[in-house]
Amino acid sequence: MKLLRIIGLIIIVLAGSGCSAARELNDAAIVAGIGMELEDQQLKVSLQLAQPALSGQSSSSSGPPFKVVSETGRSFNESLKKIGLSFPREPLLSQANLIILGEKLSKTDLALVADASLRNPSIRKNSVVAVARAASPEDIFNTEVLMESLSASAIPKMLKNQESQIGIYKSVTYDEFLNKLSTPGIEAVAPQVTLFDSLNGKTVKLEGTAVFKGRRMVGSLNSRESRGFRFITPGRMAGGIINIPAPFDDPGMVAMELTRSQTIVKPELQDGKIVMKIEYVGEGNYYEQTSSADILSLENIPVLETLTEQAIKADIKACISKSQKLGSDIFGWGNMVNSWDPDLWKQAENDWDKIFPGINAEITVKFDIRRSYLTDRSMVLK
Amino acid sequence: MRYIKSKEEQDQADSPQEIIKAEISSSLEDNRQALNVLFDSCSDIVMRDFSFGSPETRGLVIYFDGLVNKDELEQNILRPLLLGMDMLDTKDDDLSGKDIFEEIKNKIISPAEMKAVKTWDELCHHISSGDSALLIDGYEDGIVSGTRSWPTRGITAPENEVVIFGPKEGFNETLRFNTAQIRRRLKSTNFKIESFVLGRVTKTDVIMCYIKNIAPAGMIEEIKKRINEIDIDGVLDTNYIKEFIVDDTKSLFSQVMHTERPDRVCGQLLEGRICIMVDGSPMALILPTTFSEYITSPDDYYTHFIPASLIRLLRFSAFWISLLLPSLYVALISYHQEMIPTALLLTIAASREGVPFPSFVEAFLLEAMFEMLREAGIRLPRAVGPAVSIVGALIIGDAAVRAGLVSTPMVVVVAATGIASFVSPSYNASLIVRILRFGFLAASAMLGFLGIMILLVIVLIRMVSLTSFGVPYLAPLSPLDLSQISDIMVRRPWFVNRRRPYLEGMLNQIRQGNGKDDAS
Repeated sequence: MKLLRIIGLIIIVLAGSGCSAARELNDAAIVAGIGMELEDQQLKVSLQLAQPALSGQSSSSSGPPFKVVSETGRSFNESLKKIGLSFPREPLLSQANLIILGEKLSKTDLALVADASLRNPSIRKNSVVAVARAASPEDIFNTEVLMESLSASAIPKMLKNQESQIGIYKSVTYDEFLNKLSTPGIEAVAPQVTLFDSLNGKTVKLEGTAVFKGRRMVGSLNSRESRGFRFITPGRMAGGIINIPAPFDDPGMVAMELTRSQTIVKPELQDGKIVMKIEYVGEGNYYEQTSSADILSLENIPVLETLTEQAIKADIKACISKSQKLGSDIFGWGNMVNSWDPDLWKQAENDWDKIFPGINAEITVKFDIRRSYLTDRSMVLK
Repeated sequence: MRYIKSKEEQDQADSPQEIIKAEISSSLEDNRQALNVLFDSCSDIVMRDFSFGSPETRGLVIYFDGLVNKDELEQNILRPLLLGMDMLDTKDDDLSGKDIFEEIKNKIISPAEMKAVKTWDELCHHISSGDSALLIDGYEDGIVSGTRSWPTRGITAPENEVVIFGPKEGFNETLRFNTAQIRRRLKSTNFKIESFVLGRVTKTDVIMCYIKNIAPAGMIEEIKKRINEIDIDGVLDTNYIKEFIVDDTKSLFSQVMHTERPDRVCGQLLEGRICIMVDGSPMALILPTTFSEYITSPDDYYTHFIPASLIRLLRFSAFWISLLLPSLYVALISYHQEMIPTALLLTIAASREGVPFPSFVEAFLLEAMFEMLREAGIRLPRAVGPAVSIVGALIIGDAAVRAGLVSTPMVVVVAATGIASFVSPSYNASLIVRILRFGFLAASAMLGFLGIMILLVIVLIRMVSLTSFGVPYLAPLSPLDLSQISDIMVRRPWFVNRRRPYLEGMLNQIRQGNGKDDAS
């Protein structure tokens, strides 16, 4: 009897405490993406909600398989919770794998949302972050994407795919982004998303990389600079296409496929000045030529390799000069100096904004051609 | 008048209780009276009077109709007595000078088993067991001869423990046939069979067998003691014994392995375990047993060790699936939605759209329905059973989904759980899994993963503290025995399987190579 009473008590305690956290799927709405933007001095939070399609039957009937809800308020959470005033379900933020920061918000102050989104346990820190360009997050969420039901799940996929295919932008996760915002000696970047008119109507497109300085966005890298940023980022990398003009007065182009590469960046002191030594070692495949000349021969390979090296080097230089122009240390050179020589960093930290634009980079690029796929000599056309 | 008369009669004749304790008298008339009292209203008793020899001696054969082989009785006992007395001594027809009893016993009647009994108790026990008794006028001893024969099921393949490879023989309801099947496989004088008679009314034969020099002597003594302490009116199945002798009588975990396969019994005896069998039940008890019963099957040892090991891993995962899958699913979709990939969550959400019940109620109803179908499937006539249960499940599942009462993923989860629960090689061991599944379901509905974890820890504590005849239930996982652990998760090949799983007090653990000679 006593045992029964104790068991009963335990059940009551557990059931009473537990059920409040339980949330049936029928009472929740799945959030695919979270957008944050500044509108009329107020924070606007937009959520792209995935609408569960009733299996098979009614999929053809009406509209896109998502809904976008937005609300403005004085704080992130006020806006978020205000959605509940006009929406009957609880948004499940934990499923969102894309966070879009509005352009205006980025250019004003990210501190408006940084704390709320770091603190909230439901916001995935491994979700992809992107910055809207010439469009509001709400518009991007409201846009349909080809072959994919939700733009919020399409954008991370696009970022991932282009990295192994054309190789321009780097995908950034939200915790990486927040980390860079708060770490001295490194600035944050995030790919930008914009809308454009295609044959299939309005759709989303990746265009540019937003460059932050401190808590504000200060500019943007174009596609060439973005590619350079990808080359310069320390570590291993794979995927991407490099186009070079064909050698020997041939009017065509040659495309190289990057298969793998490694970048090592080291600070060095030369005559009392900090110099960054950037060492890029890559290899790739001969992928295409736009003429029928006999370009890929044993003697020509070193020439082709040198041309590729020059192209990579030019991309890297473009990126460095852009970031130095913007005064934003997106490469984390300050951070590297700090770990290489903390004393030096202590002296330089306060003046880093002035030192960074003047830092010289010694770039060495090494590229090897490995394979040429199905043929070595090109097809000779009549 | 009647009442008084019958009371007088009662005074004259002894009551059956007194007779049964008494010894057999030398007077055939007295004996007949005693028998009439003992077997009053027993319509299946047969008492056959006859006279034989010269001078004429009267005799009485008693047996139960249906339990004896009448041909054998006639040819080996009655015919030699009636016709063959002459052959005893042709020169001297007069038997008066000889001890007829000894002559008959030694020279005339010929069954292989024969025994002289002195008390009614012994005699009754024997004829109830199917022997026939012979009483001769003037002698105080009865002769019981082994003429047991009754209709049996024959040796068929075990129905509940099906294996692909390996022996197809199973036990049946006759104890002697069962012991013979074991003895045929263990041709060693060290294979011992000790017998007990249990049950005040049923007087059931119970045997305990083991291999001396392997099985721990202390354990044998302990089990003997526990069996001898049993005092019950009847023993109809081995489970009666089991409930008396296990360490923890209330625990749901099966501390004793049930099997109807002689080869499995032999395999376990060779590992130093002890087997108990009861006349009238085809199930043998093997003890002690451990958690490994949940995932091992005898045919692991009859196939190549790599597929056998993989299948064992499969069973291990099926064990976890059948225990936890519904509760994990409920916890996931009502507490931890962030752990489900978005695409999957969308599919689940779509099918849950419009379902009126919380996921716990949905899971509980479907699980209960499945258990009912399963139970009904056992009772249904064999021919229609499987068809009805499959069709029933399909119709119930499909119709319930179409009616919007349950969601499709839940049906898939319950079906997967059902399939996984049938993977368990032991029905008895899977019972606790079926019960605990509901416990886990409730725990997950209350606290999500935390609830599952709490209950898992409680169950684990229970299992760790449980012993089966002194052997820790989770051995060799806890306490950890690295030398044996590899024969639980995977099936070790024989060429490295040099040692037996250790049992407390085991005398000889080496089973190959330079171990002691077990089979002396």
